[in-house]
Amino acid sequence: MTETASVAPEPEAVGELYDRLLEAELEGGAFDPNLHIGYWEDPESDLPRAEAVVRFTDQHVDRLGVGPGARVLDLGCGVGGPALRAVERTGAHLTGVSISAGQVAHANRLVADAGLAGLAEFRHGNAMALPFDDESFDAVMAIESLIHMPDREQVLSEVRRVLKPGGRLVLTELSERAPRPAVRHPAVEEFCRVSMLTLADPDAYVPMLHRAGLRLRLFLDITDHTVQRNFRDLAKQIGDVDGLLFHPRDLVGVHEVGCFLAVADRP
Amino acid sequence: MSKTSIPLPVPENVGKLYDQILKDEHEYDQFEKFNHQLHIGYWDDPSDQSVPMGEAVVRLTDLMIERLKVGAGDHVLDLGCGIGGPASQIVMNTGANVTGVSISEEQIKLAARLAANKGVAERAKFQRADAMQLPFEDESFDAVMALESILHMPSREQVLSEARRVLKPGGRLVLTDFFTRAPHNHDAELHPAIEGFCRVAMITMADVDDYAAMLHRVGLRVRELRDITEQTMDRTWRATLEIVALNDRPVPYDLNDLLGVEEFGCLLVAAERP
Repeated sequence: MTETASVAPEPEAVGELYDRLLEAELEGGAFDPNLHIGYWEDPESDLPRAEAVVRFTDQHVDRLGVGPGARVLDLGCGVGGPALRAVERTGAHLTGVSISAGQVAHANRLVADAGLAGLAEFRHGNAMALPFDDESFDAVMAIESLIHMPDREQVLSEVRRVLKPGGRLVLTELSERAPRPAVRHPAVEEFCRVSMLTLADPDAYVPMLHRAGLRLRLFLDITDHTVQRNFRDLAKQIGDVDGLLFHPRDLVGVHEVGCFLAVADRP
Repeated sequence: MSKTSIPLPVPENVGKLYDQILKDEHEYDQFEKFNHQLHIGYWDDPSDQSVPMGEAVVRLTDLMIERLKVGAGDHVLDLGCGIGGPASQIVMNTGANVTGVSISEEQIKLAARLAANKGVAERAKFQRADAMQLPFEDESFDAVMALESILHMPSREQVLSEARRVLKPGGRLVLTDFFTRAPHNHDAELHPAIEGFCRVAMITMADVDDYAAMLHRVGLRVRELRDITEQTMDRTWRATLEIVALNDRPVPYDLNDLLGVEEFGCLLVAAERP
């Protein structure tokens, strides 16, 4: 039941990592409002990455079960692209939280530019101790963000606390994948270390949701639609760069990393 | 697993139970009405009263078939095949061949007869077998379906292990199971209505907390665990009660006791042999 051999991420360090990523992107002029992976219904299709990342967002948004007037928390909101997409698609009010102050500032600018101030707001916060009252949200989404948090069970307990009864959580995780190898592929170790993440344990996930006081509705493996295609695309995009601690091409063909989507309710 | 000790189902007795159900029911037209499918129904919108049970059972089978990922020429094992309605549906929807097994001799006979009537006898074959010890070679099926049957078997893990053995690498397993829904204290006793139902129906409830781990222990890989309670249970009990009311004989268990018991869950599971 080891969650991973790598060390638990430290929130401040994760915040700084994403601050630096954002600065580098802005300097390089390659700013992307969506920092998560893409979803391809057919992983061999030529659907561009920019569209695939929006489809990945929609995998979450379309399962929230919310409409106009609902309050939604986006846990690990990045620079706000997914929250704006959720506003557009559902009419709900979005609150985004990130541990990266740089991301929060940028997301607030993005929402103002989109003319959606009042429908979405972003604040700096730690998912391990959320700055919100009990039962203040109708739904919570966490797009590939629990991977960066030091204690998943604590985060899920916090999610449960801020959800209204009957409210819904939709999340995605990067995970270990059966059959689990006796020794992890070194590229997986390196990927986790450099990206400051741990892989979720699918065997332990459902009982963890239940211990946190949530009720499982869906556990869905979406590895085939996401992982390898993303590593392939990223490897191509980065090309032959020397001196990287980790290159995505090292994970192409390594099938130990999975991705799943989970939906749970607060009963 | 819950603290309450429901006796483990004994395959021979489950076979006799279904033999008896067939003898009791064959004079009624209810199996026809249910399209020869002896399982729960699935309503996309459970409040839609225009969808009858006969349509809802076919809908659930369709959801299973979609997940089998099979086509013409493939060979599917239907584990706990009942009287063969789902097997015919697989043949007709996908063009695959189906072998159905049941522990009930009477079900096998009727399944073969009904398949012949529908003109699918060449592609849907039935035989009596115990799912705990399948009489098939390793890697002989492209997919395995177990519609609401694993709950009648004494060891889920042994059955899953057998399913894995007879599946070809890459093959899918799709099943439905009953489970105790959260919030559920593992040390607490089962709801008395669920316990009573388990005893009469010769079933046990699955532990959803252990499902992914159990699949992985037998060498399968989980693809999907979906709580389909709200789309299935309440409407199924109500539809069954309507049928029961037409039959003029005593019932061993009053399904009214299950109405509103939210802990009684239904799970759809998909897995693959890596």
